[in-house]
Amino acid sequence: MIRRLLCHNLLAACVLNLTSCGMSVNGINVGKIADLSTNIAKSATTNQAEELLLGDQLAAMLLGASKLHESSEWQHYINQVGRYLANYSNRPDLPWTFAVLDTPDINAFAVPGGYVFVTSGLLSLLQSEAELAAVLSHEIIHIDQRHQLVEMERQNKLEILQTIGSVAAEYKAATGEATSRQALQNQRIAQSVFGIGHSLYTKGLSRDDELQADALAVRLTARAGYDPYALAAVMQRLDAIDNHSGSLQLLLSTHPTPFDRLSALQLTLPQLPTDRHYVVAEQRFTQHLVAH
Amino acid sequence: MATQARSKHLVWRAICSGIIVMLCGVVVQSHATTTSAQVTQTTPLKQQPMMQADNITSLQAQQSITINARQGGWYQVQTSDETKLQGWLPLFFVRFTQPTKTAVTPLNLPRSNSVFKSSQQVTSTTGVRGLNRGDIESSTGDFAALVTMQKFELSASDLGNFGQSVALQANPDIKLEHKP
Repeated sequence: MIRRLLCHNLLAACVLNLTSCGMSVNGINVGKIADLSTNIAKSATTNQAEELLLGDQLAAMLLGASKLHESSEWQHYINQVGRYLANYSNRPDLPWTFAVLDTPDINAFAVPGGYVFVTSGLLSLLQSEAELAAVLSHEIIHIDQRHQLVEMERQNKLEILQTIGSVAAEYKAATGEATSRQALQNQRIAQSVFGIGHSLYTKGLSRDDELQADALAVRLTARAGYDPYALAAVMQRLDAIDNHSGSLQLLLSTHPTPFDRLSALQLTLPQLPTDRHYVVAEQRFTQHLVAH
Repeated sequence: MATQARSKHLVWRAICSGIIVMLCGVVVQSHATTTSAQVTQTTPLKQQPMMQADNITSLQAQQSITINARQGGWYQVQTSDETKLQGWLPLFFVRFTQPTKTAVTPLNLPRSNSVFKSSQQVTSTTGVRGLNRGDIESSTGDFAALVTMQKFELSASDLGNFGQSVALQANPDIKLEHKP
């Protein structure tokens, strides 16, 4: 324990030396990252400014793993639906940003700070705006409830500090050297930040977090005026997909099975009021995705 | 070639517009598809999508049906036997057995049917870059794409109009609280 604390303090001091430098490398503000890792070391939770900074890096990491879909119409539409929904979340003031990734894999990702990604493979399964709203609501709830941040704070705090601190120190030592050397260090800084995300987005969140995101997603969907049963309809379609399909591999390895999620939704959905005007908006969904 | 493509595009839009006009007036009615499914437990087939509606018949567990539409937590179904009875079943008493056939296939989307269960259990999506564990673990980031992504701006009035155009009515009394 003492050794861990010593290591912790040593790294924090190392990072503090870099805090004032304000260097920006490949879009990463090294000084701010140093601040971030120091603050995570000092406190139990990250504040919103830190969350936004970390979110930028993690969103860039996911964009490096896939690519944005070229249709600006799709990107505009998903931002309309997503931001409309986010207005009814507990965190309407976050800079919510939504995007379609161009990949046949079926998945969606939430990133701290308000970034939400949906793959074009998942879009191809959906049949209405209410279903899109349901998928986006699930991701919005992860951010609303700070699921990723809490997971990082719970499990990886020291690891984050170690990876960022050690590489940042190496970067500082390398400044002023040849360009090729700097390029190597820049890459290593990016890798250290992305290391957090690699673990987060390939291991996934806890089963409880996922089921809570479903339970609250149907409430958010209904709160915004969309048909809350849309999420169950999407789950039934996912349940019909071959479990061994490569397209679904990452989603299934990081989430409870669609069957389990449906079973949980069966208990949640009847709690919602039925005397409301819930919208499906199938026509508008088709119009946006087919016509452009 | 460009003119041909444009003509095809216009024809497709006209077809879509026709479908949209036909569907106008349907508020919580979805969807223009048919899907094969099975009943998961013995349950009455209802004349309308509500528990207090009259029973048409009793369906047995694992009985085959076709789903025609969904309305909230209910599916409008037709039995696959010779009786071809039509009625409504609760959503959670149904399990899909084959891919959804969409009446309108989004032109630009990858066909998802290839990933559904087939009799040979052969599933694949090839030739297009995927997003898997390896892609994420080897990512070195794309900050240019991040900047592009951040460019989509929407004002509060844009979002207000967006909601109003399909008559979305918020329900602020529904709280974001989960009672397990």
